Amino acid sequence: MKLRRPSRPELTPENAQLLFAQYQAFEEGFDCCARLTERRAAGAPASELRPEALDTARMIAYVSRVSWEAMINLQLLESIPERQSPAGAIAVLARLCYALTALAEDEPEPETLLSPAELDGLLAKHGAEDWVSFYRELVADAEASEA
Amino acid sequence: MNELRRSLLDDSDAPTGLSPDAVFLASRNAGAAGLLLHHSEVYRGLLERYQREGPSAEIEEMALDAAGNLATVMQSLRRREDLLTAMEYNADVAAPPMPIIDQLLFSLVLLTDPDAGEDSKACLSSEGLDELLASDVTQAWLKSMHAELVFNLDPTFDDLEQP
Repeated sequence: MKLRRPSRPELTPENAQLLFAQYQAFEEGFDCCARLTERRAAGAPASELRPEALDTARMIAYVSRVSWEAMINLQLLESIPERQSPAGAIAVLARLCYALTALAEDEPEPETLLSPAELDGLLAKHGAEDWVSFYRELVADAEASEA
Repeated sequence: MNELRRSLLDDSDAPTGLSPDAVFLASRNAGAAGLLLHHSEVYRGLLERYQREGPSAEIEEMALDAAGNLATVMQSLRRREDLLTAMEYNADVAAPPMPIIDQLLFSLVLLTDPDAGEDSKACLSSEGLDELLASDVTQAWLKSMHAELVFNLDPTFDDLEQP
């Protein structure tokens, strides 16, 4: 008897959009976290950092919550192509959210922040480099076809 | 400096004779478990107030403080991805349910929404939180370290405000 691997269910447009929203949350969250970390190191008071830090932490929290509710549906997990698997990205987004939460506080616990070196190595640490490359290529292709 | 958060990162009360990695895991697991139980109740109170009274500066401060406590332990744990992965592959060890603890943290962050807009609608409901706490992975993890006992023995948790 010949065994055949069951075919992967198709990723619906809604779920593809949800996965893309995770990528957008990463780019926006990473940029914000790096910038505010730098400003904090340069002496900017917490009151100046708080609005943007909290807004961005909330944006990541929102995307992560909505994604979680969708992903507990097994069908979605099975339908995600390997390169788009957000397993590592989930940890990366969570870590950015922790750091942004701390950046929004008057006296954050220093260990909750991410250092510039940690930010640089964040994707590699959680095996999310291929994931982000996939979406960056997708965005570049879309921009090239629009030009 | 926040005394609770310092104590959450203090490994000095861990049992003696353990390797540094085991001391780290014992300490952070206990901290995360205690916070999960305590802050679930804090969250329920804040959620109920948020839904009844709408957003306020006080709710925002309390939600941010609780989220910051959880973030302190979670950042420390996720920094050691190597140990978390090793725990997941060890059938004899109950690994901390990181994504589940994150759902509580994310929901607390969403309660800082000053407009009660779309963001806050994505918060965990009280029933949703019940389900996560009752899940097999959460229960196995809590039972593996008798978290309620750890929680009750830590006097610093008593200082936390209730909403």
